[in-house]
Amino acid sequence: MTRRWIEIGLAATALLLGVVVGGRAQSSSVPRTPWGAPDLQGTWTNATLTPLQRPAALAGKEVFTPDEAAAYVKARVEQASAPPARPAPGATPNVGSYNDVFMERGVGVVKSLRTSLVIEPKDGRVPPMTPAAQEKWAAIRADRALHPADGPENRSMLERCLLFGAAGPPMLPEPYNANYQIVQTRDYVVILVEMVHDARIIPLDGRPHLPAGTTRWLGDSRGHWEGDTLVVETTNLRFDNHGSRFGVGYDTMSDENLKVVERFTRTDAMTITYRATIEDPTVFVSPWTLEMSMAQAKGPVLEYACHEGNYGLPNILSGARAEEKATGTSARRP
Amino acid sequence: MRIVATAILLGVMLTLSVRPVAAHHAFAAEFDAKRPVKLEGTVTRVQWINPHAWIHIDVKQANGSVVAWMIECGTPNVLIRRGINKDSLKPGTRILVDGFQAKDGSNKANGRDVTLPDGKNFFLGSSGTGAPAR
Repeated sequence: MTRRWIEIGLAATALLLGVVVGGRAQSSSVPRTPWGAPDLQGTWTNATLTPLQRPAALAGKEVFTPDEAAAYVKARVEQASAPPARPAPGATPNVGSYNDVFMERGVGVVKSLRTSLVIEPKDGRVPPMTPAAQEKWAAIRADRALHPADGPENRSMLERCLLFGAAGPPMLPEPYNANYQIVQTRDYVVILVEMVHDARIIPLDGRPHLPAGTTRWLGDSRGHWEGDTLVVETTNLRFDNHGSRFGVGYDTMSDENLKVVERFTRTDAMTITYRATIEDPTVFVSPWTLEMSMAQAKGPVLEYACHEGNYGLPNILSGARAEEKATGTSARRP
Repeated sequence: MRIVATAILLGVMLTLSVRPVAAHHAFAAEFDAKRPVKLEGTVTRVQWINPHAWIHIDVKQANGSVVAWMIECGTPNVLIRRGINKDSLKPGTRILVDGFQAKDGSNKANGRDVTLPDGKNFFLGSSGTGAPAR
């Protein structure tokens, strides 16, 4: 136990130092493939303590100072290490999930020291939805509230092992298994996503997108190089009414008009700087952009065979049936 | 002054950042907040599977009978990266579980807090770390 804590302490210190003194290397130092493309290959993690959106308490504070970043990381790691909070007497307890030893929330913030992953708009917040999307989203939420567990189709994409924010796109950090392996050829880039065992296959040969109306969970991605940056444009994404696409922490919808443009730049030997611009004119009033660091990780990416033993889903449904029986009521559709 | 400002900033942030309950599925939909359980049992087997590992335990009742329970945990992938494998928690090991029973009334609970009685355990608390970073 003590040894583990020492190891954790050393890892945290090393990463904090990286956060504090790390800067962007010149592109001349970027490793290259034998055919001259920037080499993005290897295993990477985007685990970070930086939140997607800037908390209200930090409104106007775009970037931490190195001291603030170090103090923030220390406080968050200590907070995560504390035993689960006990409810006050008489209060409804929080069921929680499982022991925190199963989490990998990261031990650092993004290298830019920004206080949110969202860098555009400048307030670090995802832009509001259009009035029409708000109406649609409200209807989805109302239906969810009324039919929380009629059948598996009412449950979230992640509970059904279909889609996590980790694969996206955009690829957002999950609180565990935030690991990726990138493999390149001249004509393809493949991103193996640990959560949930997805492979994004990205052709670089300039072929057109799939016809409109042909949609896929991970969409249809096309890549090209702009200087030393891999640019990946993804369209033909399925309508997702459960928010899984934007990570566990941010529940909102997107629709079939979603377009994501990602930029992968190897800014130094240990880092890929990842940017993604999200456009969905029928959902968001304006495009938004997020940026994060993908740090080289030890690997390998492990298999997260999500359908292997997903007992949680049938347990949720049987729990709902038991509640209906106990209360003598059911909102299930006939 | 700068230190004071940082402390104030962090104080504000931490009051807002309640420890997130982020997992593969909604545990509040599977387990019942009105049925907290504290179990002490003996491990009979571990299902080392995704998306969640399950620890099977036998819990001895006051009348001497034994009731089998299943405890839902997180992904084994994280533990593998920490050097813990399916043989680390051997049958016969006694564990303490503090969690909530399944809503369907079956003998399943979430392993919100799983500890070994002797204190030297890997389940206590959290590292909160990103283990894979080099």
